[in-house]
Amino acid sequence: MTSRGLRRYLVVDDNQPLAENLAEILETSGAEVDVELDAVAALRRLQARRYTALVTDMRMPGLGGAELLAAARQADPALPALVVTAFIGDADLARVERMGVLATLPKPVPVEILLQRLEHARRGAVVWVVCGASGRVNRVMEFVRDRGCTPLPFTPADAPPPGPTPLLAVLADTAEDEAAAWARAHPGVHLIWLLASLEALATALDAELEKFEEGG
Amino acid sequence: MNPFGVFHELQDYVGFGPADQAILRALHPGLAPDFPEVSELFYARILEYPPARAVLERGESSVGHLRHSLVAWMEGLFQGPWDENYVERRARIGRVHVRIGLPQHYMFGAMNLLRRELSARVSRLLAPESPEHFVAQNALSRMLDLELAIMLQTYREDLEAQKARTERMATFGQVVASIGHDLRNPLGVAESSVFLLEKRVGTDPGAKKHLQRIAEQIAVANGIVTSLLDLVRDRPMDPLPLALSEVVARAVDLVQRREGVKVDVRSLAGLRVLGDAAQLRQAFVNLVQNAVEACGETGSVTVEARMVDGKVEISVEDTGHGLDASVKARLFEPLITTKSKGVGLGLALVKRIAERHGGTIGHVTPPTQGARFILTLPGAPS
Ligand code: HEM
Repeated sequence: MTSRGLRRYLVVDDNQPLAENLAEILETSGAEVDVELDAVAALRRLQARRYTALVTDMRMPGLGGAELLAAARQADPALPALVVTAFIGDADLARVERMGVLATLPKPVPVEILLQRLEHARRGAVVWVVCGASGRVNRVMEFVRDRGCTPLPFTPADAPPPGPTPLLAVLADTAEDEAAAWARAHPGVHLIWLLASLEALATALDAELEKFEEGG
Repeated sequence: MNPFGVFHELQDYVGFGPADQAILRALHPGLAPDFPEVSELFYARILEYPPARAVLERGESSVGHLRHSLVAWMEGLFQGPWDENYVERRARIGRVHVRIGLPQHYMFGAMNLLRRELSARVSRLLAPESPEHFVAQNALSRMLDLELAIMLQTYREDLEAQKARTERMATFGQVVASIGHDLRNPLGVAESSVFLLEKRVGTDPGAKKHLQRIAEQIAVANGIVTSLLDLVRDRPMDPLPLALSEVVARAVDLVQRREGVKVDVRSLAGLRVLGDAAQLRQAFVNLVQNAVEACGETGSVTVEARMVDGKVEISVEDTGHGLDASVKARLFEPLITTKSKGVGLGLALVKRIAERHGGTIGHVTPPTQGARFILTLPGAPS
């Protein structure tokens, strides 16, 4: 991994002991961490400074994690985010998945995964995951996340989401003509049409990431 | 409405009154000698038709015994008294059929056969053109309508009971989900505190041991919460082709067992199933853990599998004491347990997991003493 200087996280959870514990764990890994117990205060922080990543709970009094993430991306579109929640299976969770997250982790939080995901988090490294049949969407997204990127899933019929230009778009499980039509409609986007293996994706993604690191 | 209420209402509707009752009683002596023959015909028809025959074989009574029951049933039909007790007895008979899973539509055909045979015999007894014949046929016909109505009412009762059970489950599900989620926050705090402490306790072996215990117990508590939540909500599935032997081996590793209990895994080589690895492992842990516990101090558990019509059928059998009849009927409902410790979620969860995979779970009574569970899962090409 490339060295990327000081890493700074914002942890938001209305459960103070948990927020503080997560912060302490992250500090132990050498990062600088701010803690907020509600989304409004968290937004003020996000407007004031740049973070390497946001770690937020989902259900909180007042603004929840999904609303916080939406507002945070307005202020800082390149912000990677990771969600921890006691409510896996929540409808809101599907919403944050669509907004793009590094991971959605259950509580109790699997600490190793949390650390690993945050350690690799790259600001602005967005990958569109454009899936026809939904068969492999989860696997492609995990693959993208393993490389510290934020996957944004949608279908070929959807308009692409706002935010930074993606490193690349992965078109998975789409018919050839449909993929070609999609490519014509999005000329500026580096596109990978994924047929069988994830091999091609690995090569392309690593190449893009190298350029990304040099450029940014 | 209870069966008697239905009977009462219909009695008015079809116009079954004291006159009809008197007619049925008057027919009895003439018809009774034919009851055994009618009964014979009735069961002969059932035995001729394989699906009906299968239901018959599922019940616990011999055909000989059933012929007698049906004769007694006809005795009652013509002798009454057609009071509340009568209806209750009939409803009980109806429930016997519901219990053995006889589809409701068979009742129409069965009742029709009785109607035809009895009616033909009334015609032999009374001059066909006579007014007596006419009223006798009417009385018989009305009574059989009432019988059918009672029979069908018991099916309806069963549906309503099922619906009530489903509603109870839904409420139970909400309560469970809310408690489960609430428990995850304190568990999360405890776990992350343990993580932080582990880095600090240094080398004190006592402190390490106890931290280890706390961590393990948090994991146990979290496991219970996870099973509960899995039961009450749909977890997204991630189906992949899996080698059955690996899934089972990993599950067996997780099962705790006594010295004297052997787990024998056979003939899984080469079999592949399409499924979610974590969920299937959980299903096998639950099945094998139950089987191991059923064995008590000593015994053995056998896991084997075979391919049947593109599906993989896995059997888990133990040498324990088998299952109680009262438990069998509700085996896969939550909170049914035969163990002194245990909340009764294991098999209910196995059922949920099987259903999510488009599979099934069932229990069969093996020729030996114990219990045997059969899990069917979609196969995957190897
Ligand atoms: C009008 C229709 C029917 C009548 C009046 C009738 C009557 C009866 C009666 C009186 C009994 C004995 C119940 C007791 O143990 O107290 C019985 C049991 C039974 N009947 Fe029927 N039956 C009818 C239709 C059928 C049909 C269509 C089948 C199809 C297969 C069937 C299968 C059985 C079986 C298997 C049992 C024994 C259940 C057990 O004890 O495990 N019956 N029936």
